Amino acid sequence: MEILRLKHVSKIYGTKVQYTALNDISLSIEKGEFVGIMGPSGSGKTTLLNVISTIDPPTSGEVLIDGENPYKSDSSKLALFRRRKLGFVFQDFNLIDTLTIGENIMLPLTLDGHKVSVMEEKLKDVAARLDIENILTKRTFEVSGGQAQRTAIARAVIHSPLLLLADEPTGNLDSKAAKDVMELFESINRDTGVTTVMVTHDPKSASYCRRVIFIKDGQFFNEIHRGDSRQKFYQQIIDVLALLGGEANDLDTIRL
Amino acid sequence: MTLTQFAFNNVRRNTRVYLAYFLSSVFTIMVFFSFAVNLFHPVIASRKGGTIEIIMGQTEAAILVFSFLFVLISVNAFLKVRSKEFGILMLLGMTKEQLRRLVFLENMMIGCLAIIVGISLGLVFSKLFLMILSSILVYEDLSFYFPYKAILLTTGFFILIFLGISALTPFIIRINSIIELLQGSKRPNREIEFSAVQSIAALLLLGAGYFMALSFQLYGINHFLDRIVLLIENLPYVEVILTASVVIGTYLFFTQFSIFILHRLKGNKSFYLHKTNMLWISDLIYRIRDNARMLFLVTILSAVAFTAVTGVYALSSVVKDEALQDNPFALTYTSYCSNKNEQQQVRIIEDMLEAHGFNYARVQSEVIKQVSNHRTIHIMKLSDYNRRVSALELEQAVLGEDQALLVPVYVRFDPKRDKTLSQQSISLDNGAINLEVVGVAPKVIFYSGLFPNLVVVNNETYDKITGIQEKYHSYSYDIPDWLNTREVTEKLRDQLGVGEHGQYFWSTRIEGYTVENQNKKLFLYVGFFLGAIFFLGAGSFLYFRLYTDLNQEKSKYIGISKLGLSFREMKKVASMQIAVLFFVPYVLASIHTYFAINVLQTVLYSSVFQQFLTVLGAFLILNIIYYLSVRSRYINYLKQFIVP
Repeated sequence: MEILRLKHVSKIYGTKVQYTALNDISLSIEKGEFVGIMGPSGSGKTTLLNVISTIDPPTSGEVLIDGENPYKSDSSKLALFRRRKLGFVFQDFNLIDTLTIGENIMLPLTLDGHKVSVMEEKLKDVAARLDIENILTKRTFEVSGGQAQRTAIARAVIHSPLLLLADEPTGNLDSKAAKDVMELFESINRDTGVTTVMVTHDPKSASYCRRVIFIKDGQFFNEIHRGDSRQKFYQQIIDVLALLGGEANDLDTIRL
Repeated sequence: MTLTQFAFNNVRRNTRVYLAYFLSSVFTIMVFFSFAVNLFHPVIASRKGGTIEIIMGQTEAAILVFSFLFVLISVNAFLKVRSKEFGILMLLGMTKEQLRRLVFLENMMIGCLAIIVGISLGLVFSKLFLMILSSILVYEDLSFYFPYKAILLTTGFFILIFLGISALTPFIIRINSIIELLQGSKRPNREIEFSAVQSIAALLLLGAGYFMALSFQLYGINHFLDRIVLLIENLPYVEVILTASVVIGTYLFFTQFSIFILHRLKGNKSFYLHKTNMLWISDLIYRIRDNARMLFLVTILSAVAFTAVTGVYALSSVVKDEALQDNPFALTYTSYCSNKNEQQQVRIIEDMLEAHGFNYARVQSEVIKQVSNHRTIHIMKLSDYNRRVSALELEQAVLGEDQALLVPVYVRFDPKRDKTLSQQSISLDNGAINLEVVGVAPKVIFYSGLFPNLVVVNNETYDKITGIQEKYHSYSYDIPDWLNTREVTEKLRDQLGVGEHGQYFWSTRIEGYTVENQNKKLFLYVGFFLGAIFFLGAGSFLYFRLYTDLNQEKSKYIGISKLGLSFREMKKVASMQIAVLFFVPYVLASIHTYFAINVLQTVLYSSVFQQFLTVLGAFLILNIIYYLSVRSRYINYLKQFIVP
């Protein structure tokens, strides 16, 4: 079943000086897939994710999530759509400082007006899965980066979204924490079947995906599928990146 | 967790951000409430319809408008800091409705608490304000009372204000662009643009406004200038044009001209690349761009405060002087010739003065009213005039048979442009007598407003006049100890009343003086009240902005200190920036005030320049104290993060 479909999507910024961030991109993602989006700096990765996130309408083309075009809804319907069908994970976690870890995780359910007992039940489940049960009453500034990102993942999946969107989720983490987070993404995808789309510039993180789509200058460039070996997939990703012209070990984190 | 709990948690856990907003609300409410306590005091309230009630009521209205603006600006700064948080919430699927409700709930929690705290603090201070007010109004002691009306008014108004603000929040936070909200305070580092044309326009507008303010004084310097001055004077709504030009000029000054200047400084390499100059100049450009509107508001508020305080201060310090000029004699009684009781009434006055042990000197004059060529003219004879001016210690006049002397009816006369006083010739008895005007008397010789269009003529000419509409006898008394005549005047008023149309009327210096004195002191009180809160409010805006920017600044200073910026240098960079934010508005507001005072000068008798300097000095001291305390708090905060 197709969860996400982009039809000839373009995004142009600016009025006087125009800048084409996305140029005629079409792609299709099936239910349960774990897809990575890669490309050099300024290739339009984040714009693509924002367009999918329903927060940045495309200039032309169509976005279909679960068969419907979210940009056709009014803003409060769109908010409900995001709240119930999408989950977000960011590079800088984006937790609310005034809430505890547990409250942050429950936020999507709170907004939707769920019963307290239901919320607490779900919180217990998701916290156990992500191994953050013992920090639920702490505040955001009292936990480590890895814990903060796991909190963000918990918040993104507590309402069992249709689509999990991640923007450089390992960008602010050390390699050990990054590995833990990617393994979590992989296991959540495998166990719950949540369709996951992740933007990254890190080949190691990308190698956890089942499929990686490469874009360059806002256009589709190439895509590769993972076989059985993650190590081999990693090597393939490096090869494509070299072909893309970006350096294999692109350390640049400045995005547009 | 419900939305209400969420709002409560926000308020409870994020005190640093909320505190500034809360405190400024408390301050505003306290000021409003203290004033309302004065307004509703039983003694004040019992004097319905008087000047006092009008002045107090208008002041309260002004405070209310200011409160609204102040709370609006506070909430604006406060919500801007949190835009990223709102972005996250919206991304997670919070509807606009929910976001509005969240902000509303938070606002109402802070607002209600602020109302309670503000009123409580106001109650503590209200006795003090009542004491000041009662000493000004020379009333019996205004006792403390339980001001339930003031409490109701304050609570009602501020609940309305907070409701209104909550309704406005969707416009403050640009709710429609989640991406922009998520970027939050991280501002795009694009080059700041400015327009040279608009920068020049700023100076031109300020110049034009200043010129218009001065134009009255520039009259008579040269012919070309006179024509411009007259042109300006004949403009419709000249005050509105003047104010608008200065206000727009100030706005452009901060949004365009200041950036233009900093760019020029940047262009001067030997200055710009000298030590820490680069740091504060480049930073200041962004800071001014971000705060331009606020600096503009601070300048205008300060200018209003300075002008109000200088104005009332000047008014109150010249009261006695004006009373002396308005009433050259302590008491003047004027009777129509047809009044049968004239001699009896003069007797009453003189007996009363003697009975109270006052020394006095009497001057008597006769004045004729005539309508000649459809114009009312008052005429007196030279000998009467000379008797009056000698009592006033002025120069005696000499007039030939065909000559006349004009006498001003108001203190502020301008022989150049006052049509009545600039006549070259006067004709009486419908042209039977023609006189040449030889001069204008230097002063009012009866009292302000009595006998308009007064002409002095030679005694022989006076006797020839046939057209007599009315004839008056005026008795003026010079009483050296006039300041103590209040009681005598009250007794005389009991006997003589205010006068009778067609019979007699009389005026005293002490009554005018007392009323003016009270009104002007009251003006002084409310002027200082308003001036102080406008100025404090303006300062708080600045502090508010610095406070909310602190987090961003923090990471910047940590970064630079790692590169090897010493604490002293950091202090210098921060001080320079805060100083510009504090003193540029002060200087500009002072210049505005100087020109505003010049306009005010045209309605005052004596120079107010000294008062102007005193007021500016007082505010400068306040400003310096404000600056030093803000700077030390700011630097102490940054100090924690500096690499030693």
